[in-house]
Amino acid sequence: MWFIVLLTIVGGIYYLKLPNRHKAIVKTLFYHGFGIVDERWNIQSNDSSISLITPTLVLDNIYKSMEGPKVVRSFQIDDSKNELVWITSFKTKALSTNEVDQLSNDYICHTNIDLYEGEHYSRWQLNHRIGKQYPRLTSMSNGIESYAFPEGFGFPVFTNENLMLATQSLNHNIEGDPFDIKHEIQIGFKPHNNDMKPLMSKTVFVMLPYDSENPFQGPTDTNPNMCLPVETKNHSYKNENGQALSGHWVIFPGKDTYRYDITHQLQLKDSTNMHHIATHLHPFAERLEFRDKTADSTLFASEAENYTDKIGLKSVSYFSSTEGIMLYPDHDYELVLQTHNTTNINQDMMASMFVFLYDKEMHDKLKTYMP
Amino acid sequence: MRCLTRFILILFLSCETSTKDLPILSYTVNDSGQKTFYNIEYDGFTNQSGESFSTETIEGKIFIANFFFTRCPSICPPMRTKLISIAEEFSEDQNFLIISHTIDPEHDSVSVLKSYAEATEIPGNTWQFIRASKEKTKSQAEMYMTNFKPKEDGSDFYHSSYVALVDSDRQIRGFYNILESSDVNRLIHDIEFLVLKSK
Repeated sequence: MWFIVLLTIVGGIYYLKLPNRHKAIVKTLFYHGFGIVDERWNIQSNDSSISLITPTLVLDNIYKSMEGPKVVRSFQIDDSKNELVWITSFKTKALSTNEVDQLSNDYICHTNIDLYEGEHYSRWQLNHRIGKQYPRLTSMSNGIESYAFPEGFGFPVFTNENLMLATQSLNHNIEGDPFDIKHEIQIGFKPHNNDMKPLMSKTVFVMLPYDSENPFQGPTDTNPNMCLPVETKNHSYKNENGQALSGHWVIFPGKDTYRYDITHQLQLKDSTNMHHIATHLHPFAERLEFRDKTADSTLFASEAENYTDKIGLKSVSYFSSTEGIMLYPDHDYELVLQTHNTTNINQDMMASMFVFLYDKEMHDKLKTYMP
Repeated sequence: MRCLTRFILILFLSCETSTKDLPILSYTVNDSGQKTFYNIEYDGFTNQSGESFSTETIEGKIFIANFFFTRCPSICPPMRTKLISIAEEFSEDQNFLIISHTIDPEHDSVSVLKSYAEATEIPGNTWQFIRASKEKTKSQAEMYMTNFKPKEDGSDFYHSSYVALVDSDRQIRGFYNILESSDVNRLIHDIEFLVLKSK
């Protein structure tokens, strides 16, 4: 008896010391584990799309970016078939728990779709690609909740291949009584045809240095480019010189500009065309440019429109083109981010682009494919 | 209680005529665009008892396979916990096996694997920890549609949290992210399905 009381007290103290996002994980496990809210997934597919409606997510607090309740699961487009299809579009939206009424997309932080890269690349004997980069297919986020690849382009997958879905909620503005939401994710696809061209996904993102000895102090006069990481456990990296870098950092009130060289993230071996870019930003971002440093030119600028009466991104523009923009392996590229924190407190920031390049190596495989 | 649960599940599966078969995933698309199917084979591996581990060892078995190393600081400890619970779940099935391949054979000697295996408290006939040369292990990983490589700072290896489910004909029938509870449930269901089918 005393042991249970002691365990409850220690557990309670431990829980209270957790950051907001870890509390959300614990609460979501509790709500779903004890069946307090609907913990089931509703997954339906037909010949051209798959819809995944999440379990209920409880918003009982302000949840900034990367903090809200989230759910993760793997899925297959249709595990009863082994057919090649082309993923062509993505959409995420917030729903009421009746799974019909659409709610504000203010409750969507991000929805990530990942591959099981081993299964995906091994089938095509492209084993050298396994483990080269994080196997993210794409991401939708607040302000950019749906998009389609340009006509004639897609991402080829087999219907029984494992895909991984992770979707996280957001609530920048509404305090008071808890309320429940769900997310619905729709992925559009087309049957295989030889005229389609494959895209490969690359994730490029801004990372800024910080002092790993004093991570939450700075920037300094001698190192104005230093950032304050939001956390040091997540989205923290080390470069080849051992310098600590953060992809999730604090921005101070006012305007700022951040630059990061992404040449090493692109890993270009040959010249290829860029056909699509989906951008992931946090509120208070205003513009993210994809620049060719060598040619000193901006290839695409993603414009973010912030709400003026509440915190949130109203829209974020994306790039989509059948013609594409040529990228070269001997050029250097960078992201340039402009932010404007209009509040009088610090906010958090991330800036990524999910870049889709023409995949010649895969195209050569697909040209001979016999269903 | 566990026996009762399994009995009910088996009864359910045997009554449920709509239970669909699992796909055969052990194939590659060759340069002519044709699917080439293959079967899992072993040659040159040794288990935690120092015994030879070969294709013969897995003949007629339903098994799951993963890649790990005993000094792994990241995904292996939670994977191990999940695999222990699966091993316990199927401890009475003589035809069920878990195969864990070390990707760090230089450190993971037979004696290291033996200690690691004993710490799981799972009998050796249910869970085999095996080692071979790095080259053989790499080819084996390719057969299981995965790979591994050291991370730049040398602290860890890139390796996958997915396990492969293989049927008694040595064909891969599914991949499961063992760190996701919904995938663990799907894996248990699919093992049950193959076990029932083989009876």
